[in-house]
Amino acid sequence: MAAVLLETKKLTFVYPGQPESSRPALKEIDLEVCAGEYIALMGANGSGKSTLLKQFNALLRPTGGAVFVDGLSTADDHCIPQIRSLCGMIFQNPDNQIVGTTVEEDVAFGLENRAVPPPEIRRRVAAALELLGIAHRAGFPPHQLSGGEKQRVALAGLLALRPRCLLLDEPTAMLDPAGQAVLLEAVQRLNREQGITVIQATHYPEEAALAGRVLLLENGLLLKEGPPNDILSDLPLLRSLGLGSTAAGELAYLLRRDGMPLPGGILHNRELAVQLCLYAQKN
Amino acid sequence: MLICTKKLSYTYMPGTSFKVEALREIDLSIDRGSFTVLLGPSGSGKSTLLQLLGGLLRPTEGAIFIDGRRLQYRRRELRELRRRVGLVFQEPERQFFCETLYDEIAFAPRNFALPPGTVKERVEQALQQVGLDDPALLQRSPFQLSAGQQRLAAIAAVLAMQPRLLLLDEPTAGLDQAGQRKLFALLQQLNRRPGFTVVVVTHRLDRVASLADYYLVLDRGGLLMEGSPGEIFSRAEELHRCGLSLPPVMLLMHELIAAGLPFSPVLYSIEEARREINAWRKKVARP
Ligand SMILES: Nc1ncnc2c1ncn2[C@@H]1O[C@H](COP(=O)(O)OP(=O)(O)OP(=O)(O)O)[C@@H](O)[C@H]1O
Ligand SMILES: Nc1ncnc2c1ncn2[C@@H]1O[C@H](COP(=O)(O)OP(=O)(O)OP(=O)(O)O)[C@@H](O)[C@H]1O
Ligand SMILES: [Mg+2]
Ligand SMILES: [Mg+2]
Repeated sequence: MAAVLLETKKLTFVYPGQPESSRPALKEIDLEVCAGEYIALMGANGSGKSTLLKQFNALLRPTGGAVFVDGLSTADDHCIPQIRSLCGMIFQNPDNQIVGTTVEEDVAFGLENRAVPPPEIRRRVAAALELLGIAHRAGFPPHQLSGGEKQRVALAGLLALRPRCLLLDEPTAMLDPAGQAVLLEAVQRLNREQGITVIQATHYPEEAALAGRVLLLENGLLLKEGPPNDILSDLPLLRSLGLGSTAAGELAYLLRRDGMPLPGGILHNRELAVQLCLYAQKN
Repeated sequence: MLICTKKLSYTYMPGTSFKVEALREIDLSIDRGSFTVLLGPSGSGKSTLLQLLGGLLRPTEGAIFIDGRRLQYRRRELRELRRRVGLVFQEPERQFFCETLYDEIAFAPRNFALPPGTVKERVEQALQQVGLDDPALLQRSPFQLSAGQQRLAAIAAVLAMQPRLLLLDEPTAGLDQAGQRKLFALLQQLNRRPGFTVVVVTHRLDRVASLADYYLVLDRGGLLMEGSPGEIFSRAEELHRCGLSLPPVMLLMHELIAAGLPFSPVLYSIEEARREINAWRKKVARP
């Protein structure tokens, strides 16, 4: 059993300036994430996904309960630099993240901050830009990029830092299909080959299906968790939360409701193809 | 309104070393009442084109014609254009400048000098149309909303203007499934009104594919394809080469067909796929 990397104990959070009577953005969340896990965070708009991710790099800190990263409490000011170097985050809005005057500087920023030697910085920056297909924009001012280009710059800056845990807030929302595939493959490879822990907030069931565990948030509560095949085939629950499943998952659910004998847990196109072929053979 | 462009070009920072030719000699037309989807890989010029169509950028070369008249960028013309055309930005927070969500949505109706009662009605209607009608949010700053709530707010602010032409840049990015479903049902309903035109930029074709009647595909600043859904999606190879993909239900049907099942490759919605498979089931189930 791998070591616990992230832990929350009765984590509750109310945004500053909100009336005391208002609903907390997170409510009594108990969660353990082991090193090397790949987790998808799903939930309707406003359910608390971004708020939860920001707790793990101490950008926000609990108003009740506690959050530990590798055993360090985010409430302890002395631990924050270490927590931030363990857990790197990309925000939902890449504009909030851009600091450099050129793309190259922007991606190098975190490394310079950590006093990485310049030749190593150059190597890592070049590799990250190459990986995400934006090397041709290296000398450009980052604020003048297209939406998808900015999102890739933010991710390059994070990957160059090589944190042990990646906190990804809807990282593919503005990428084209090829860009989505490149990003998801890169993240999966880091997880598989280097044991990097990943927590990814997403509205796309296809992406959640790639994770080892899916967490469902509702109004700040951790409602349910489990492997993608369980969570993403519970269509009645997903729909009641304003969510859905993959195309194959949705279709399999409807066909079963129409009386077709299909097994549960179908999420991928190929799985549905296999089951329909088996059905044809039996009849 | 009918929009067409003649050799429309746009260059960012011309004459500097950062010059980017974002669009080159685009000839296109968007029919009154159509539902057009603008596709293209990242950086191909989609957002630039949308801002040109909305009159927010001025062509560096070429021209835009609205109902046959060439847009001259006179102040009166632009004011008229702003009344009829609503543009929702790709980055919703670029649109916000008011203290509260309520004021943000009320801005355009107030600006048109509508009576206070009408302003209130429009705000309530717009928030309800996008599903952001939680009264707890009204007095909050738009920046204190979740990302998806911000996008819904940006869409509501534009709907409150009651435009005749809606230009939406990645409107579903960050929305949950229920929000996406609601948005597309609304767009379909608006589009049924005579002359109401919708143009959507998106990378996700799951919901929009069964609504759109026309597609424009940009690649590196040029118009690569235009046509009906059937015409565009029969060129899967070319789409794939520039980093694009087919609608998810089509990909699913392709997989079933590749496994030897006798289905049609041109279906755009889960419901169509469900009907097709159920019909097939009746046939194979016969003893
Ligand atoms: N700065 C803030 N001040 C006050 N309330 C906030 C602030 N940011 C978010 N909230 C509220 O906290 C709740 C949780 O927001 P959060 O951004 O975590 O949701 P989310 O699950 O990430 O949603 P989305 O899918 O839209 O990104 C929401 O109700 C939101 O309105
Ligand atoms: N303000 C700007 N200044 C300079 N160049 C820009 C600016 N905005 C965009 N560009 C460049 O113009 C090209 C087209 O950008 P545009 O934003 O129109 O692309 P897009 O198709 O909307 O891409 P995405 O899918 O990533 O949003 C890109 O190469 C981009 O880097
Ligand atoms: Mg969020
Ligand atoms: Mg864009």
